[in-house]
Amino acid sequence: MDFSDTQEEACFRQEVRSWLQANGTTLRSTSPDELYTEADIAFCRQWQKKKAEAGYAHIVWPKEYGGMGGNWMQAAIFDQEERRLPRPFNYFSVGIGQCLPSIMEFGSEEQKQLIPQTLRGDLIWCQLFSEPNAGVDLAAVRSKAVREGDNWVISGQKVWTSGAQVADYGILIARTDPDLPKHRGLTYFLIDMTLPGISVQPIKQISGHSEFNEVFLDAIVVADSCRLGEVNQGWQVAMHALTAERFKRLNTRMPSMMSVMQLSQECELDGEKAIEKDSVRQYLANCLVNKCAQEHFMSRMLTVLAQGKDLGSEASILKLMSCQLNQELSAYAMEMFEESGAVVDAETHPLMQELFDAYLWAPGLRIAGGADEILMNIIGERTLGLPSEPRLDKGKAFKDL
Amino acid sequence: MNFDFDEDQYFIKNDARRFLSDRCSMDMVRTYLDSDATEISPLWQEIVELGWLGVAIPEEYGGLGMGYLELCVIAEELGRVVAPVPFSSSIYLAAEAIVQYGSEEQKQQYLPAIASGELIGTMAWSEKGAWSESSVSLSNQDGSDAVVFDNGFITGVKRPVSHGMLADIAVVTARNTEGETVLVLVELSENTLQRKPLISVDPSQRNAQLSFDRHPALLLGKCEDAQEALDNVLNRAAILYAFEQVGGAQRCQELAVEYVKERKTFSRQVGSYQAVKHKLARMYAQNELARSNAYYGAWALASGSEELPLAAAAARISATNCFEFAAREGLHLHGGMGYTWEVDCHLYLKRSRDLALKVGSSRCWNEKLIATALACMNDTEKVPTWLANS
Repeated sequence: MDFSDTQEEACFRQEVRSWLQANGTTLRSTSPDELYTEADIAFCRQWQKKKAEAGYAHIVWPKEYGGMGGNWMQAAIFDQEERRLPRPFNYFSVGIGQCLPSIMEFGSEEQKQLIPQTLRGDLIWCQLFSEPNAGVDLAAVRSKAVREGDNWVISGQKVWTSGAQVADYGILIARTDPDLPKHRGLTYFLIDMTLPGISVQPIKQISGHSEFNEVFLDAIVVADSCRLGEVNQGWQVAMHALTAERFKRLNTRMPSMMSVMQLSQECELDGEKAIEKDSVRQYLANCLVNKCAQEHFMSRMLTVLAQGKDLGSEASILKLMSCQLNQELSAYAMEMFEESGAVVDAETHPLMQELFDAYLWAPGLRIAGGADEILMNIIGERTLGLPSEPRLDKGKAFKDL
Repeated sequence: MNFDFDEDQYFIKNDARRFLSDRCSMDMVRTYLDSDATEISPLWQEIVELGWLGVAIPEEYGGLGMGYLELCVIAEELGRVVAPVPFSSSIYLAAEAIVQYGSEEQKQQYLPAIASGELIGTMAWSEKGAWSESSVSLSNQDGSDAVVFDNGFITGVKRPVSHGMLADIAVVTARNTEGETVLVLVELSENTLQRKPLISVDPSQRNAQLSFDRHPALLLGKCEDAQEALDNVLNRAAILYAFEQVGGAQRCQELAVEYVKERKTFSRQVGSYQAVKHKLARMYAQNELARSNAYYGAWALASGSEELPLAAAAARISATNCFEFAAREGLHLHGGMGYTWEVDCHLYLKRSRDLALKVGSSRCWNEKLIATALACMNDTEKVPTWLANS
C-alpha cells in the first residue's frame, strides 16, 4: 500500500510538469458557445499535436503507433498534471478512448495506421451505435449492411452521435444477418464520414446547444477492408469500446469540488457565510466523502491495470456514481444563491454559468454510454452473478422479433 | 503508487478468514448476545494465541511489530463475522493510546500484557450529555457526573464504555482542576470503581457504566495536548473500525446475493427482478467506494501521512454509510426470514448501528471532515492530490 510516487514515477511527474509549464501556458477552457466551432477545433488540434510529438497523446501504446510505450500509472500521472491547467474540450476523446482501443485489439495493420493519425490530432471520430429503436437495447440495431462483392452497402439511421458534424471517421455497428439472434448478427465497421450518402442533422439539446446528431446512411458503400473483427462478431467489438467508455472519472464540465467549497465561503445566507451553516457543512462533507471515494476507487482500478490485469465490469461504478453526484452537487451549489440561483449570469456569480452547464450536462451523461439502469444490470449480473430477467428475445432470430 | 495490500497481507487476511469462518460461527455470535455481561467469548483466547493482538504493537513492547496494514486486514475479517471479542477496544483504542502517548514505563508495563491478552484494555471517554464536535467536551452542564482528575485520582461517571464489563485497564478522558482535558490510565480493579452493565444496541459490545470515586489514575506520560491526542487516537481507531464496517457490509451483501439467487417468487428467482438487482448493485457500488476510502485511511495510518485526519473522516463516514445500507437492505431482501432471531441479518444490523455510534456520530465526523478540508484548502501545498483532482 504505497500511495506516493515511486522514484521513477516522481521523475516522470517532474518531466510532465516541466513539459506542461513550457508548453501549456496558452491553454484555455472551451466555453459551451465555442464547442465545435472551427476556431476551437483548430486550437485543440494544435494542443493534441503538441502532446503527440512529446509522446503524451497515448502514454501506454507503443511508439510505432504514436504512443509513448509507457504504463497506466504514467498515464494517470499525466492526466493528474494536465488537469491542473485550464481544460480545452477534448475532441479526440471519443476516438482515443472508445474507437481506437477496439482497433488496437481487433484491427488489421492497415486499420491501425489510423491510430497515429488520430493521436496527432488529424482525425476526429464519432460513435455510430445508437438508433431510434436501439439505445439501451443496443443489440436491436436495424441499420443494415449487405455484402456486394468486396464492398458492403449500409443503410439506416443513427442517433445521439456526438461530434458527427465534425468527425472524419466513425465506428458503426450494423446488422449483417437478420436470421441470427440479435446479438449474433451484427458486424462492426470503420466509416469514412465523407462518403456519399451520409448526412448529419444536428439535434438541439436541452442546453440549446447541438453536440449530438442524427446520422442518416443512404446506401453508403464501404470496402470490406473497413470491417473490424469478423462478420457477425460486431457485438464483442462494440462491448470492448463501451467498456472503455465506462471507466471514466466523469468530472468534465463540472466545477471542481474546491470551487464549490470556495463558493460556500463567499455566498451569504441569512446574514452569515453559507459555510458557517451547519446544514451546508454537513451536505458538503457528504459530497466530499463521495468525491474522495471515487478518486481512491480510481486509484485502485489503476493499480489493477498496473498489475497487468483487466478491469472487470465493476469499473462501471465510477460512471454510475460520479454522474449522480455531480447532478446533485451542481443543483445544491445553485441553491447557495437562494432565488438568485435561478438567474444564469455573472451578476449572480461568475461560476453560475458553469454550474448550470454542469446541471444540464449531467442528465445526458447518465444516459449516454450505458444508462444508470443498464450499468446496475451489468454490475448485478456480471459482478454479483445475479440471474437476468426473463427475456422475450433470447435465442430468436432478429427478423422474428 | 500501488494502492492495494501486498501478497503477505493478503495471506494474513485469507488465513484470518479461514480461521474465523471455522471458529466464529454465527450461532456462537447469536448465543453470546444472550449470555451474562461479564462472560468472555472462548474465541478470545484463540485469537490471543494467534498473536493478532500484537500485530501492530512494536516488538520491544511484546508485539509482533508488523504494522497497521496487517491490523487493517484482520479488522476487516473480524467485522465480517461480527466477532464478539473486545479486540477493537483493547487494540485500536487502549493499546493505540499507550503506544502513541504512554511514557516508556507505561509502555513497558502495559503493552506486553495487552499484546499477550493478559490484560484487556479500553478507552472511556463518553459521558452522559457531554459531547461536542471537537471530539469530547468534558463539562457536563451541572458538572455533577463529569470525570475530574485531581492529584492522582479520578472521580465521575463514564458511559458507555465499550467492553467496559471485560476490561482490566482503561484510558480515560478527564478534566483536571484547572478545567483542562487530560488523558489518564487507570486499572479497573479497585473498590473505588463501580461497574454497571448497560442494555445496548449490540449486547456483544459489553458496554458498561464506570463510576469512579477517587480512583487512582496516572497521566499518560507523553501527552502534551490531550485534546489533540484524543483526536489522533480517535482518528486512528476510526480507520480500523472502518475496516470492520466494510467487512461487515461486504458480508451482508454476500448473504443477500446468495439468498435472492435461491429464493423464488412468481416462479422466478428474486434476484432476477431489477428492483432487487439494482438495490444490490448500489450496495456493491457503495461498498467498493467505502473500501476505497478505507484503503486511503490504511495508507495514511501506515505511512504517517499528514492527511490522516482527512483520510480517517472519509473512511469513517463512508464505512458507516455503507454498513448501514447493507445491513438494513440486506435484512429487507431476506423478507420475513430476515426479521427472525435465527437468521443472521440482525447480528449485522445491530453491529452496524453500534459501530455507527462508537467514536462519534456521522454528524461529528462530517464536521471534522469539512473543517479539515477547508483548513487545507487555504494552503495550496497541503491540498491532497485527490481533492485537487475532484
